[in-house]
Amino acid sequence: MGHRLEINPLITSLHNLLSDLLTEEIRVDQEEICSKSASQVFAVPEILEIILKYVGYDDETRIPREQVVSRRPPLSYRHAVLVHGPEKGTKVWSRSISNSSISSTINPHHSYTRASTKSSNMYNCMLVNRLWFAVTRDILYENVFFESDDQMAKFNPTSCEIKCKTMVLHKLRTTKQSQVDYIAEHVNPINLKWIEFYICPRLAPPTSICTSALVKLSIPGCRSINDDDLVSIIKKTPNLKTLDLRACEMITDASLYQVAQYCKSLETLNVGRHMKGDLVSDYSICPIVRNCPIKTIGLAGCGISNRTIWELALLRGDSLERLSINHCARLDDMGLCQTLRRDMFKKLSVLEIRGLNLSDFRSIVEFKKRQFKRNITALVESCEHLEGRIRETELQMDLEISNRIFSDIVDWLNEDEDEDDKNYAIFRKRRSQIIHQM
Amino acid sequence: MSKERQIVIITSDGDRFTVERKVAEKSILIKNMLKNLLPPEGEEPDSDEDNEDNEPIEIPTQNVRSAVMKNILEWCEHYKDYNFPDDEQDDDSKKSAPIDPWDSNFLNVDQEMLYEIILAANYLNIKPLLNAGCKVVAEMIRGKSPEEIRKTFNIVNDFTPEEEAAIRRENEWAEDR
Repeated sequence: MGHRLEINPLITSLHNLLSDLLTEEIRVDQEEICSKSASQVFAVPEILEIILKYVGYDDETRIPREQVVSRRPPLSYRHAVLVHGPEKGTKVWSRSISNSSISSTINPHHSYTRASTKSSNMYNCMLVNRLWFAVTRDILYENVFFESDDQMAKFNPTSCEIKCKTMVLHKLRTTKQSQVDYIAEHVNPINLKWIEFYICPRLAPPTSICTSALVKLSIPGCRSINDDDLVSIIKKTPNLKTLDLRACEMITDASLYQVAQYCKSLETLNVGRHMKGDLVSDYSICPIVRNCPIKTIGLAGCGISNRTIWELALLRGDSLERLSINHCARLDDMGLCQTLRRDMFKKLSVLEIRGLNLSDFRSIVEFKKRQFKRNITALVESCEHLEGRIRETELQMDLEISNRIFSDIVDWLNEDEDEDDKNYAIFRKRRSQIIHQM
Repeated sequence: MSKERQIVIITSDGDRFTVERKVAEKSILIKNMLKNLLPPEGEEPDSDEDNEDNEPIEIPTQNVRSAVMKNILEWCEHYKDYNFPDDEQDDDSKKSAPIDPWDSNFLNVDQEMLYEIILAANYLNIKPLLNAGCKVVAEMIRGKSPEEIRKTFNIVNDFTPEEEAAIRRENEWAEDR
């Protein structure tokens, strides 16, 4: 009896062991199959690339971009009320004060919101194994962008080639040109379509990364680029569509004239500035208007004359969509208002005329009404003085129209009643016919 | 109307699937094969080859087993009348598009089957299915640490500790992007 008692637990434990082994074996088997095709999937670089591109699908949304404003902030409380009405105007005005430079220096992140939150998904993928690292790095290199000097300083493209599509530097203050040049040495620009140095006053794009692939060059606020630099760039970029040179004060007619010769696909040009506006004039802008299919042009603060407006109207009137001529001191009614009166800007939807010396407001109001009939809601961005005068003119024109309607009605009421008599005669005739039939 | 020749796909484990031409042609690999074997769709075959017409065209697929092929063909059947746009040019905008609900449901299978579908879609060159499958895997990767990724997908870490440290150091710029 004692033996049996001893053997039984032995058998059960043996049995347990055996079944453990069996299930273990099955489990291992399954894992092996799994690891086999899993490792196959993750070992084919083409498949891994597709997977990792989807992992980093939102990487592009992190490229820092200038905030798009549908309307410019008002210049004063009264201006805000004029544009938006008493209630909304007060709100808009107080918001624009709170976003002004004073409070944004206290809280620099207040007005700047990221398009999407940061993530370390791609960084994590880099650290999985060698293949993952190589594939992930190539994907990350497609969009090279930095929004702090710190981030830029950490970037160290050792020996490999950067085949980027985008290169964006956003508000870098202390980064040196030599750092940018060093990165440029590692860039293969064959796919580089978009270069943006946004408010990086000390940094200019190296010529070596500008090629015929480049479509968009945006360097607003660049103080270090001069005419010679720009000419050596645009000579290499015949397919450029967008050129943003806002507040690049060293750029003058000399290089912009060359833009007209080399960049014949240019659709968007912005050379708006607060200082040295006289350095940009008809001499360069008219050739650009003549040679390029311009749709958007920003000439705020430039020394252009009415001649540029007429050239725009005659040559690009059927395609121009946005025109900014704020504070162009040499413009007057003879340019803008006369061309508007002749309905020469058929597609124009945004017109910025702050600080212009105009007096023919009727042409502007009529332009807005005409565009509305074409299903274009024209936005006319102006200053307090002009806005006030435009509103007055609008009211006056409405008044004229209602007066005309009123006088038409009066005329009609006082008209000879010839026609009514005729109708009455017909009516009587018909009635008598009907009665006769009955 | 002449009768179309039958198309039979033979899997690695010997199963035979008879399919419609437009279903089979969701696979660019098979489409290109058929291009050489058959007249273009809608055209009459040459009259002197009539005797061959009734012989089915057999397409062997050594890399795909029957259970996987069944799923693949279900997908092809579902999309047989849908023309996928050429996404070679502008695939960037589509990257963020959410996965199609039908695909999502279709790919709600165990991991093993998912990988096999991806591999088969790659081999048979069915781009939209490959993309959908990769999207599902990408969702599984997001939010995981490197170690968790390796564990989930049984991936061997082939970095030396020095290499790994160097990569961490050199790619700090990407850490909180």
